[in-house]
Amino acid sequence: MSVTVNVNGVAISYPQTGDSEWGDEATDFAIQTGSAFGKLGLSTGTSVDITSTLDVTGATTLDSTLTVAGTTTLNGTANLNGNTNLGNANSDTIAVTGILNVDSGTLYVNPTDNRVGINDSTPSEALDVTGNALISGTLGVTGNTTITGNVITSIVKASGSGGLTIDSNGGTDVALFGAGGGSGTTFYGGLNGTTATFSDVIYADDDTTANTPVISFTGDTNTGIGRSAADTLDLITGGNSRFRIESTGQIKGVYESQVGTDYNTTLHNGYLIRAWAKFTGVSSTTLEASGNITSVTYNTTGDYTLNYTTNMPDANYGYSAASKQNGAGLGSINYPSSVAVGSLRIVFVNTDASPGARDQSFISVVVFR
Amino acid sequence: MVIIYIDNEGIKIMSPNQNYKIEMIADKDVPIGLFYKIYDVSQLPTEPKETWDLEINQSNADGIGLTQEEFDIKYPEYKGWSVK
Repeated sequence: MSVTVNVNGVAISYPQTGDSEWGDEATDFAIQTGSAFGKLGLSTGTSVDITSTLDVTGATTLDSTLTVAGTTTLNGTANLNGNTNLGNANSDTIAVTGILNVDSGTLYVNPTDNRVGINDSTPSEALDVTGNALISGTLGVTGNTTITGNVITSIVKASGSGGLTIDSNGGTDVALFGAGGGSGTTFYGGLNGTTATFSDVIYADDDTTANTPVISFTGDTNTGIGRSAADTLDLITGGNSRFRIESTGQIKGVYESQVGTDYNTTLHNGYLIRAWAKFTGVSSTTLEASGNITSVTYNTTGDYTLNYTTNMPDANYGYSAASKQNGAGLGSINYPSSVAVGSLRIVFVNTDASPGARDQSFISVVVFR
Repeated sequence: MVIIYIDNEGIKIMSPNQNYKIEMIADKDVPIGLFYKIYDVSQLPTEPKETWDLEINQSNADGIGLTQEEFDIKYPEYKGWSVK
């Protein structure tokens, strides 16, 4: 059977009459028809254009460029030795149907379960990485994150201020610090089961809803610390403010007694005891215990002066005193002999048939302002 | 220990707060310019103080009541405390 081959634009039919081994009608092309080789040879610089199907039954070796304009189907195993280029334009698509296994599992694509494994030829998730991962850009996670390892040793900003460090802190708990141990850490969320220590200012929510704590307890969320207005601090229990420090410094509290319907929800002004003392006063005096009192002076019979450590803001304050008259086992009445910002002088007199100043064996005084 | 001083009403006996040095309290609470002496209570006569023959002056005093300025300089750690 004669075969026509176009070689450099010249149609040549093979075998030709008299050919026994190689065709010799063209200098650039030859076909070995003899023996069992059946090879087709091209000399350097020549090419063969095949405009129809090339059907190769045996093994094929290409030592130079093969250009195929149409689709190429390789039914057997394709071994591409040396460097391999797939595609030559950004618009090219390289589609792989079936398992993609690069370097025996270094990259493994499982098309049955739609999973990709890195160093894992049996990936259990959509992406399953065995080994470390280094991500130089942003890692975004829109779903939940579960960490089953022991500890995150560190997440550290490479340089500069700001950022966040999560440190194992000895491996027993978790601490959050600003970068370099500095201040300004913004902490969202909570630490469950551990004591959280904050080394700097903690800012709570700005909510000023009355009777609503912004610092509270997991199992008792209506009890805690809040604020009902700017520059105001409220201590809240059971969803009601029971004690308040207003912006002016005025304190307010609820009544303890169960009178009326709002006894424990309506706040009323409260006033502090500014000084107190317990002392004896027979012929002399002994200051036994006190607050904001540096000394008590025995002036004369039944006459004592309390000297304040820190002055009262003014002399418009009140006091209350109780006493036991020496030797009589009775109480005495008293009156203020002098009320000053730095001291209070009190005189005790008896109430029997012989009125007059009397020493007291027990005296208790409180001063309100 | 008590602090004794004499003013225009007579002898006064002052018992200090035990949490502080008695000299500091005497300097603070004895009226300005009055001399004082510090006694152990056991040293005091048992008779009423109105019968005591006591004189406290510069030669025998343990100290003198300070002004606020003097007190603040002498006791900077208690600066601003009330001086009588």
